[in-house]
Amino acid sequence: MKEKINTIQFFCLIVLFEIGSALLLEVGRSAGKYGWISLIVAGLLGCILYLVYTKLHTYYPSLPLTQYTQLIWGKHIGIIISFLYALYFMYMAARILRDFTALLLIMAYRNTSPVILAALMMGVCMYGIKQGIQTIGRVALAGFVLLFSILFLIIIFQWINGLLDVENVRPIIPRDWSPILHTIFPTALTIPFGEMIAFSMIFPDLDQKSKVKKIGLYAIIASCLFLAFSSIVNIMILNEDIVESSIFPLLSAASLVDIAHFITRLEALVVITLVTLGIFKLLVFFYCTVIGIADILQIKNQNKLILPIGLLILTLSFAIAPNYIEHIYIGIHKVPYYLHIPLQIVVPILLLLTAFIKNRKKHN
Amino acid sequence: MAIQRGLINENIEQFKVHLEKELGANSDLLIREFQLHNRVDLIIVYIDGICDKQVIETSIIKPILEVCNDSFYFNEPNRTTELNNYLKDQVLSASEVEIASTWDTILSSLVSGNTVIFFNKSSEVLVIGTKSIDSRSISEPTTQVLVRGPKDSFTEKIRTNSSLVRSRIQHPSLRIEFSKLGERTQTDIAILYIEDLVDASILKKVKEKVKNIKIDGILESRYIESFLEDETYSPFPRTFNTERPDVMAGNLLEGRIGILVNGTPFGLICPTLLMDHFKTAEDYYEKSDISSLMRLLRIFSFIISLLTPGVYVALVTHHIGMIPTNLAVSIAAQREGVPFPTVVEIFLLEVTFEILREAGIRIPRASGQAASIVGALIIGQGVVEAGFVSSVSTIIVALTAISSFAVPQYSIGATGRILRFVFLFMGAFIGLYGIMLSLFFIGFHIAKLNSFGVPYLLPVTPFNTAAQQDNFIRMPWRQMKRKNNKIRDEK
Amino acid sequence: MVRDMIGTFSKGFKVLAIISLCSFLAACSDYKEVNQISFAIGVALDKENDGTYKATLQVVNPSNVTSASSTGGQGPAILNYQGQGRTVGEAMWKSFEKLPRPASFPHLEIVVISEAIAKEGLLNALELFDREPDVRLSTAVTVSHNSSACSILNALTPLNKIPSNSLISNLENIKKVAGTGQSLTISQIIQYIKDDGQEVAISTVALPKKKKSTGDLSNLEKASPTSPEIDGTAFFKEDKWVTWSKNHEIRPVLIAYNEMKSSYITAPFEKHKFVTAHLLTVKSKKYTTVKDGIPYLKMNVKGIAEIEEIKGLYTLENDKDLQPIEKSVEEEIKKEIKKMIALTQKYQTDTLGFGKQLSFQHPSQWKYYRKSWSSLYQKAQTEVHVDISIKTAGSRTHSNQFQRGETQ
Repeated sequence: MKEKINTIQFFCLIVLFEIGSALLLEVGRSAGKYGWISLIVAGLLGCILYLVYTKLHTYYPSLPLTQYTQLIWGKHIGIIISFLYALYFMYMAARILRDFTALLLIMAYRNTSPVILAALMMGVCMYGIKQGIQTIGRVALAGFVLLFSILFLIIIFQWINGLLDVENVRPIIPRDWSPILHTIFPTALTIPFGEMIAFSMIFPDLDQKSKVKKIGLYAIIASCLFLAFSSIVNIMILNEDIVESSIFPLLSAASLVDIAHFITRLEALVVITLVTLGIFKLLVFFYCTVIGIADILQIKNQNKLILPIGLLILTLSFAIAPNYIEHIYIGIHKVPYYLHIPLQIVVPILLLLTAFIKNRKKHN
Repeated sequence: MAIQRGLINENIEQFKVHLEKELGANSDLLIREFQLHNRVDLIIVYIDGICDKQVIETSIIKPILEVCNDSFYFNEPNRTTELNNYLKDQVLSASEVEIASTWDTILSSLVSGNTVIFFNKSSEVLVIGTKSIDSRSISEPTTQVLVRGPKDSFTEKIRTNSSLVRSRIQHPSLRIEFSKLGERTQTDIAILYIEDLVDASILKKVKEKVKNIKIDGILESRYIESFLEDETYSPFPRTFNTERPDVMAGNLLEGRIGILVNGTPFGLICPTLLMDHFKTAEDYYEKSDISSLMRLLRIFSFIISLLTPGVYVALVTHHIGMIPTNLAVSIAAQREGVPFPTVVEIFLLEVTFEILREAGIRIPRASGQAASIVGALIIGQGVVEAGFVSSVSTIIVALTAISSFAVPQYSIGATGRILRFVFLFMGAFIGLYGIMLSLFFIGFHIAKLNSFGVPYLLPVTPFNTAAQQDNFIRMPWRQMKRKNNKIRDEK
Repeated sequence: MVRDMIGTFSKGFKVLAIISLCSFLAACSDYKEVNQISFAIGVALDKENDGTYKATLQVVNPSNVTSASSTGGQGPAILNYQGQGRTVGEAMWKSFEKLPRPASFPHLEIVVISEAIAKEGLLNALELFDREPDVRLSTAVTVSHNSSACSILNALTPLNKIPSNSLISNLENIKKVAGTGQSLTISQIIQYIKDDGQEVAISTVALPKKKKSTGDLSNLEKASPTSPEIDGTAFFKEDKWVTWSKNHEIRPVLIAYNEMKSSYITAPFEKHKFVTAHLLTVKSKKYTTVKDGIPYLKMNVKGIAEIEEIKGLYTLENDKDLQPIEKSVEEEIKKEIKKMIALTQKYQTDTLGFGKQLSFQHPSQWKYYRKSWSSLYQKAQTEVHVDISIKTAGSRTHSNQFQRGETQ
């Protein structure tokens, strides 16, 4: 029998996945102090996208994305699209790995070889994937509780410390909407919320199929509220200029905590917390890649694929960009237009239309 | 000449020779011969020391001697079958009497302490239950001590142990199933469960696993414990052992299955989940508030004993900024002149502590004091004063040691002792990142583990709301909705 | 074919285990023993006459700080190392060359910037510390006044053996107790400088002149050793030092930002009488509007105080008796605020943050006047209201005077 994850675990996994790198990169920051508005709007739009993914899922409740593309668009086009998706997931996994390796490298381990940092992370992920999606779900639940207690604890510390300056977020009503709209689309919509396309590979693993839609929407809204909250807190502590120029604003904000000269310098803790979040995101993309490629090549034992794909992602994470600045540039200016928009928005909507028409014909 | 293990059809002399061949010229094999008026000869055979001589004298020899002159059968040397039946049904006043006809049964009942009566040229023998092994009386538990609660503990005798449990659960649904395991030791094993509370699938698994055990000897319950766990290797214990009958009874009431093994006062309980290792019997005998706090304290101290050395090394060698300035300067001052790197220092102290602990257990009581003096004074004080290690490191190791003693179960404490070194080296290798990765690794490991099909981390993840009333905290008895049958509901 | 190439997972896992073992041997390069690094605790930046920067790095000598270690010596608890260069960064790494152990920056407590550099611009000097991830952004920054920055760090201090620490606690103390000091962190300075509509004011540190041998341990053997003192406030326009004022004159700034926790004020009242009041909480509200190109600045201050001392004979019986005292304290505060506004107007630096207030209140006006704000500020009309209510008068009613003499 196939391993299943339950609804609570599914919820936790989505929230951890959504928050993962969005928190690190502070996706809303290009909208300045109105990052929270753009995050909330993007979250709502993300819910609509999610409805597209779940609608597709209801047509083929027991199949992952890479299989129903072949049913909808036929064997040949379908397999090409599936393959593109598998590559996309692999590329995203590599990007996540690169993001967090860079974070570790810049903030704490400057003398350590990035290969070792990345390889260790990959090693743990490989072990996690080998243990199966159910195990990942269980660990996600425990991780969710732990990570959120740490994140809220840090915010409480910042609050006790008197770092939160409400004046920084004033005035609340924006005068100029254009940077906000620009942040919403494509950045904030695609980077955490559109990436939910990866979960179309995991929907079949959920034990209560009927709750996919409800739990997913709750999770997206929860994570978008948390991201908006975190964005407001960061703007309150630093201000929009520093948030925009800082490479990791969350860490700059955490580094200001100083309670009685005893609880100080929490960056290392925050770095570890963020990396933990990143590992969950990496796990999801990695898992999607593995089952996607196993589908395409029709390999029964997925475990065989874990090592080669893992090593491939590891290599790819170093090959995709010469340095971190370029990596971020590609992430903001290239990836959304060439990868996210087509694969997260255009293809799923086209798939849905085709599936809808096909189903209609069948009924008639 | 191969001994034929078939039916008996010998005279007394042959029987005696045969016995000696099978059991060796044992000095504890006693053969009492009777010659009853030259009519029917009989011998009584038993092994000295493992049978009750009182029973043999009053319930076997005395009745036989009383009837042998009057009885009709004693005059008929050829009608031994009737004679056996007559003795069994009308004469012998012992409670267990059976008729056996093969050498296998004769030998096994002899070595287990029963007495055998053999009439000359008979094809059958009488086996009388006279098992009685001298055993110590029920005493206070030594490893699982309580302030409040019953003071009796299991002994080495399985019958005593099962009676201790039965006296606590006086309900017909309590099942105690006996069987024998161990090809040579033929150890008695009892599986205990409560018929209407136990989960049938778990029971089936346990029974199957017990049945499939193939081993020469079983001297302690650990022997079968390792057969009960799944094949995957894990440092985490998946069964729970107790020497307290009340703990056994309590667990049976929760729907678990108990296993008693003859010859050891430690019974097994399965399935066992991670959180069960942090519960003690006292949690249920004290007020719920204090026992909940104590339980949280135990979990906390387990985490401390697991992580402290690793986190300390990680902070000091990789993230010195996280330590407040004054403390960091003070640590640096203490380490001035210490020849070892921090990780080696901690490692050496940890190993020294483990040696001391091991020595403390094995050492004869009389010289125990000497060991503690050497440990505390020479190693503790001397090493710091000589400047070989810094006093912070000694404090860290002492903290670890004390917290590891606060963990109630020895077996989970041992897990902590092993994993502590993993964290220590990962912390030294790559700081908090390494510790986080090790936690992930262990997380993936135990989230996959299960004990008889029950997920090892059960009420925590996968989360079970109803089970939280006796998990991290224990609700008062009055408010506990389901006092019993936890395992089945949790699953 | 693909499947053959892939091989079995367990085999791969063994390979992985070997790789990770090798990495164990290869890495560890971030492993630093705590007794093989030197904690940089303070940095002083000076500008030499030839235009180069001089950085003084203060590192801790741990065994002289705590008495716990058996190897403790008698020398000073800190060591200062200097380096010179064309930029702050160059000066810093030149000073690294002289260190016996690599410096570690997470414990950096304070950056002292000399007057000359402050006049040249703060952002440039702080760039290095803002960029370096090891330096925490909550590191305090002060400016030296009338003495070189390095001499401030050179002076050995009593009570707290580490001069940088001592300076920090001095700054914190003066802000917390007397309400006459402003210590800002690196992040706050950058934030305020970048923010339009408000300017920075930082407490300055000076060494009392005359006495020389502050760097000797003998300095500590006196009952009143020479140590750096907070002597006033430097006012900045953008990131450049424009003017300086004496000690307690910074108080209006703290009041304007509602940062004052406690302060003391002495005000004259009636004839030859003085009252010393302890200000407990002082809250302020600012209002800014622009009418016909002239800004109108309004500041309402409300506070609670208690009487500490009354000099001269005074009967204190009811609320009526309190009123003149309250009035005099209010007047004194009002005077201080007015003076401060006048000073800042003179140098066109909006230290009290009226411009920022305008941006909240009238964003459309702010958008329009943003560019010309500093010249506009100079022309502004001001209005200050102060309302202080005295809560208690200590443990006594009448002032303690020899009353018989008065009645005769």
